[in-house]
Amino acid sequence: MNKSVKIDIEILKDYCLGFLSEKQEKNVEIICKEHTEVAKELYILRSALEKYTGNEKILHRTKLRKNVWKAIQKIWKNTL
Amino acid sequence: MIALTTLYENSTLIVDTNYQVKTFNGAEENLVQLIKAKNERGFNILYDKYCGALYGILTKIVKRSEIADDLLQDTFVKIWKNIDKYDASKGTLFTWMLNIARNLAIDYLRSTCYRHELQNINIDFISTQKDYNDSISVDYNEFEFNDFKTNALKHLNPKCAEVIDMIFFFGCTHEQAAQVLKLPLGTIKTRARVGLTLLRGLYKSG
Repeated sequence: MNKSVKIDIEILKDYCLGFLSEKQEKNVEIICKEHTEVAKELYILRSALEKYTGNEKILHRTKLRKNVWKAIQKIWKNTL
Repeated sequence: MIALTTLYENSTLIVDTNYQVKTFNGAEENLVQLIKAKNERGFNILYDKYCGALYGILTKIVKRSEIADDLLQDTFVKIWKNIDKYDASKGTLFTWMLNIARNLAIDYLRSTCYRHELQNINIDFISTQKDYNDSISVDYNEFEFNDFKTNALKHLNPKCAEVIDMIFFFGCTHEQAAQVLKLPLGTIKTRARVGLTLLRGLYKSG
């Protein structure tokens, strides 16, 4: 990364990992708009993370969610 | 007491006279009320907020996704049935739910059903699992991953993979991941950063 840009790659990692405050996130976004090399690095980090996680998030498993809700309803009806 | 700042929606950091920081979580109180009223919206909020972390602790203990699926269902049913017993003065809702999930998983491992299953698994498999158990939280053989993840798991330190999965696969907050994995928040952050560094390298080389 170009050293003339005053942003550390660790800050970009923290941005992707959600470790920054809202104010810090906004600063990163401003720097990205001004420096394409920083934006490119951020894109690489985010892409790596997204490629790793893919579409397999547990929250996306709607069948599991429906089953849980059905089980709850069944128990609830039985207790009424 | 001094309210410091709004942290999340309806949640405020409070500093008491002894300078102890506490979180007053109005949103959590409202959520408990919704569940007590057996409200479906309450279920949806509860599920979205905590399902990942609860699923994470279940898979960490039982190692198998299909068993974790069943136990997640049992956990939510038990939460739903026992919500009146939840006492906010004794701990957070999350900690209370985490204990329910953990106890159900441990009960499962002690059950006759699990022992019968073990008898049907060949010895080689068990010895491989035993070596793995101390260092890895999830039995990755139970999930089908894309090529990138499969390759990454060969290179990633299991401790880093565990943290990244807790946050990005199971959808835990950083604080939930710290609580589930019983690690300081700083360690969670360090491991996530190390993991991301490796993923970046793999992405660029691929």
